[in-house]
Amino acid sequence: MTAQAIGGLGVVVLIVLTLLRVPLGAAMGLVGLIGYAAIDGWDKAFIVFGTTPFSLTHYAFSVLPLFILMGTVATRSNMSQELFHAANAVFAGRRGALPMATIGACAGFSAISGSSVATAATFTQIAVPEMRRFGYDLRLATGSVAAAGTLGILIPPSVIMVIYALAAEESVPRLFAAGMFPGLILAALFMAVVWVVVRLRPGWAPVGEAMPWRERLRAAGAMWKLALLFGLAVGGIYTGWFSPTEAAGIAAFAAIVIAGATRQLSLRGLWDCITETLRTTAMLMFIIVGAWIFAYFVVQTRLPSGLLDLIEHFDLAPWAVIAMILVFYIILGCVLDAVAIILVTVPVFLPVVTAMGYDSVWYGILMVVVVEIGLITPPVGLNIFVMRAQLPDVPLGTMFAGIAPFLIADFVLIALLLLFPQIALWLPGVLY
Amino acid sequence: MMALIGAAARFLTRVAAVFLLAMVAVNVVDVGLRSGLNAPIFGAYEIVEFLLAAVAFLAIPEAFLRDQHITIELIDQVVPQRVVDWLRAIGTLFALVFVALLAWHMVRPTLDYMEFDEVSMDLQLPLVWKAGLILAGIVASVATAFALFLRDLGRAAGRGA
Amino acid sequence: GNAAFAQGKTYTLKVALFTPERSSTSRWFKMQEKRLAEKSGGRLKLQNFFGSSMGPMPRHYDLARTGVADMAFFQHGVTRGRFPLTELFHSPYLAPDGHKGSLVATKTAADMKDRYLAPEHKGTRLIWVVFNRPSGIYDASKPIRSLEDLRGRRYRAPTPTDVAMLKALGGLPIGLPATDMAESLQKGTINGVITDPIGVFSFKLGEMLRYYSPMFVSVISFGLVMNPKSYDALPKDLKALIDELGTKEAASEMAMLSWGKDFPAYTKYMDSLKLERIALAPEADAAMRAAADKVMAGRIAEMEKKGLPARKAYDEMKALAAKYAAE
Ligand code: NA
Ligand code: NA
Repeated sequence: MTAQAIGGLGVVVLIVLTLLRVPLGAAMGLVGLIGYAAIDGWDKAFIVFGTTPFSLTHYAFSVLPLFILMGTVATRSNMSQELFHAANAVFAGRRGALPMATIGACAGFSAISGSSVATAATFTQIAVPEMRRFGYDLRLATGSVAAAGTLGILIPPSVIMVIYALAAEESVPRLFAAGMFPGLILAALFMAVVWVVVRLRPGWAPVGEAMPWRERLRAAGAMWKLALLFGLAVGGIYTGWFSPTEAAGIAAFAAIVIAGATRQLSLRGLWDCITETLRTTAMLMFIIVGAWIFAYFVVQTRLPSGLLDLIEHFDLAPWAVIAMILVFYIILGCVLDAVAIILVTVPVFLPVVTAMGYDSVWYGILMVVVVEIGLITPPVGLNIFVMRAQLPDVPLGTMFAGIAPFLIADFVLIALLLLFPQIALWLPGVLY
Repeated sequence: MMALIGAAARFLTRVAAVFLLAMVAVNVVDVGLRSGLNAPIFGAYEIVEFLLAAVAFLAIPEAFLRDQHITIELIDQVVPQRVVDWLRAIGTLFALVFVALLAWHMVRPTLDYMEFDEVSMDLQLPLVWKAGLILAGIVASVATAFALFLRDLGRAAGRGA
Repeated sequence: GNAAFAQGKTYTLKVALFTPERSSTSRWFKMQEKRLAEKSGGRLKLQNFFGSSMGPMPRHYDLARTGVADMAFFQHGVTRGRFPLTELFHSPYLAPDGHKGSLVATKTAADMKDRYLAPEHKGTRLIWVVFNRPSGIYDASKPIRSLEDLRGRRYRAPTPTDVAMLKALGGLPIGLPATDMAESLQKGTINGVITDPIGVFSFKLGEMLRYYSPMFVSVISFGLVMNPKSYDALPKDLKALIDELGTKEAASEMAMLSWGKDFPAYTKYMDSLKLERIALAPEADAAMRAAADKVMAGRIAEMEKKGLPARKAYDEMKALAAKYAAE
């Protein structure tokens, strides 16, 4: 068997194992080990296997636990709740005000939370009960939260971008900057979807009471914590007070100080935030160890160069290759988790994509958008699952039906990114 | 025995918590000293990397105990609960084999760090400290994965009877 | 019989490189891939794994030592403590400025390879040691002419010797991964970098830098090693081809392809910058050289205590470098 055939077989076995409930990290690590041994012998395979965990404590990786800590503190200290009320004040009185407020608040919250699942989970608790109370259709209520939650990994900071940056050896700050405009555009597109849906199905969204301007301003004022955190992080980086990597530590510290000073977070609560952060980080680390072993196996298979030969053989245009990759990702996104998708496929596809002349930062943003879609598509969608866990009486079918229109917004964004790569690349070009 | 494993895992998470707080502190103090007094902490990024070894690895055992590792649960909707229980036990066995092999094959590289006296670039901290923290996290994970496996196996066998 | 069988067999050697495929340091390896295939009639194949794809950069030496790769191109400085005598080459003012410095240091190392350098490359077969162009200080905003100018400036320093020099002269060394240099310069968390000119090019630092001062002038070493078992497994004629890779001429060729003059993309980039070369005040230059002597004396004394022939190696190194510099 050729190395490339072993590589192809390895990918298939990996997908089968994960579908049979083998924990992701273990599946990737063991398939990687056995595949490497099949190509290069057990001795070398075990050396690569045993040394990999020691190579994963890059400085850049430190932003991961720190940003997770900041997001956890913000959630536990009710910053998300305040944000939702502020956003609500802005849209009050329109048809579809609450779903729009949800999208606005999720976009804002995404600026301090690096995780889509956390963003969706937070706003399921806050926004869905509110929308039910006012008689919104459950499809619209859950769909808007699930979709808007995905903004968490597109608007910086983003855990997925950090993982992509590590896998692709790209700069984390450049990726963060590149995600800013696509994230804002996607938030606007989601709002447009709500606008269209409530016009086509007026029964889904009752019109609430308008709010006097004074009250609106007062409610919007509650956004100060978020504005302060975001302003501190961005302002500090911009003025050279600290580096983007250090910003994670400063912002986590600031979140703790703000939460403590406003008496929204006790010492006990802080301790819970810290242990929760550690378990989340550890869970990611376990998968990353497995994924790195798998990646070294993929390198030995020379699978990427085989793919390039195929492309050359069939004389495919670069855009056609990208289109095929995207379709593949959307299918993969149906069954695999976002972190796994990035870690399993970047070693295979990124060399192909960059060899065709595409920018790896741009490709990273495209990746984030497609894994976002995976978070909300059936049958496996992590955002849906966390929502379902909190809303046991809402059928999964209702949620997926509610999400369908929002997928159009994701596809529009992908089309925009393909047509105008500058949407992603302009800001990092200006900043770095 | 189970209680002991659980206590050890929680202890390691506590150690990691101290390291995470230290990581926040190093960032804040370094930035403060640098912009306030133009007196940065020399090698701050190396300290962060050492702390990261603990932060990223020492909580893996407890993540096992709480069954938090990411698993695709798609099949649960297709097959009967009895089969799910067995698949869960087999999946945990895979995880156990993975961490056990990992722990075993991490010993040699850890000793290499010691044998070659390798130290960090700026502060000359022995790299074996960092390697030791990482190894400790994986070794403890073997114990907790084993505990989880026994539990899952018992559950699967219990339903089968 | 067996010999005839060995004659017909093809050998593939996996080479681990941390440099990206399109960097100037990768050119020599691509060239050897072709050459060895031709010279061996297709029986010796190099398979280059660029861009740290076989393992992270600091572990490249071990990739060859443990046999995961058959050969590895690596940087000595990233595993501090393992190659003390080789690190002596990183001492200030050893080689002249510019691409000639790279050549002088490379030739010097070739002469010292068998006696001093190979023994400390434990568990591998050392093929050569090569050097980049000597570094200087690049400052983002301030021309450094005197020791007074240097005081309190924050620089990213690439080697422990540069760190010691900065500390001795009142500058502030900042530890940073090389990949964070651009970002930190841009934000002003550091005032400048100590690097060689090719580093300015490959890390795209030029737009953020304004002044260049030829201070601390020191080179950084890179090695090529082979796994001894992989070497022993080769038939005699192929071993000879590998030996040819390790001559002084081959090492010089590698250094000049990587850090020499024939590098149009680099020249074009540097010409596009507004870098001003600053002449150092003579007394500042003298003070820096004195500081260098002191730093090196301390380092050598430390190494001698550990039983290393540092004094003898350093004196020989200085003499050889002076000879090649005069050529
Ligand atoms: Na975010
Ligand atoms: Na999905």
